[in-house]
Amino acid sequence: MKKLNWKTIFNPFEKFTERQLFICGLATSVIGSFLFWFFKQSNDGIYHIGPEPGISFTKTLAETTICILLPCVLLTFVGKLINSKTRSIDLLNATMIHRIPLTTGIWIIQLPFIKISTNEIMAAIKNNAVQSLPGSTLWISTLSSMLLLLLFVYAIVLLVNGFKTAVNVKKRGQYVVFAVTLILAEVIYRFLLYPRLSKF
Amino acid sequence: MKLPVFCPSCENPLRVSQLKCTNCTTEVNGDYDLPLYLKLSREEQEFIMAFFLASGSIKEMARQANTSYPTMRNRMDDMIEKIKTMEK
Repeated sequence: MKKLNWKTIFNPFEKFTERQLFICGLATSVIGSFLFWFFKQSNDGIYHIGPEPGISFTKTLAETTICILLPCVLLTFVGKLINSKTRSIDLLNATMIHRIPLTTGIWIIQLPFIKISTNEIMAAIKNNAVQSLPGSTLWISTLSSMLLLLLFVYAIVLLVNGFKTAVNVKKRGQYVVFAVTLILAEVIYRFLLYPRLSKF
Repeated sequence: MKLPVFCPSCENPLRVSQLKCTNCTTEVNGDYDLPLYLKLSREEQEFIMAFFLASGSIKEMARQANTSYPTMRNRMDDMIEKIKTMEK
């Protein structure tokens, strides 16, 4: 049993074997797909979700699979260019594991008091009455947004560390290439792949 | 006793200037280069020995050190890079 410390929390890829990471990543991905279907949320971007009332489990599963495989394939290509010894399994594990905090976020937005405050804000925007919103609604909205932002940052930290461990990144420029690749993955998914998923 | 490989004063690599036979007390003086292995730090020497004892398996070394395969491979790559630089 490995001891959990801050280093392990932010870079589990240094400690755990690829088998442990793969099993954990696969299990959480399937659970994530189920949660997206259960809460009727769709991954309309790799890093963006939106409500979709009639979404099927097949679609959430397809979305999760593409949201994992697309960055994995692009990062493996970049990783192999930087270091030929890069293994795709390490990057697959990194892309699967980094989605755990993102999946956790879906619980937060479904908490009843957060859902109510979000609906109140949406209604106020629609009726052009944002000034009339109670302070508590704004506080709840701000705090939940900050929590979601923290989870997003944690997810990116996990992916950066996974990429660093898999590729043995040494230069700053390689992190820039990593960031560009991630943006490219988001663009490809949002504008090319996501529209094709509507038939599921 | 631990063999010093770097100068404690200026941290430059040390060289061999004297060798002694413990049997007949013959002393050899000169200016000899240390073998490459001995120029590495104690930790690096232990790492190479562990690699040898693990029959050259990075996977086995990772298991023994309780760390992941890419972490161990990265350490190995960094050391190869260092040795290549030292050889130049």
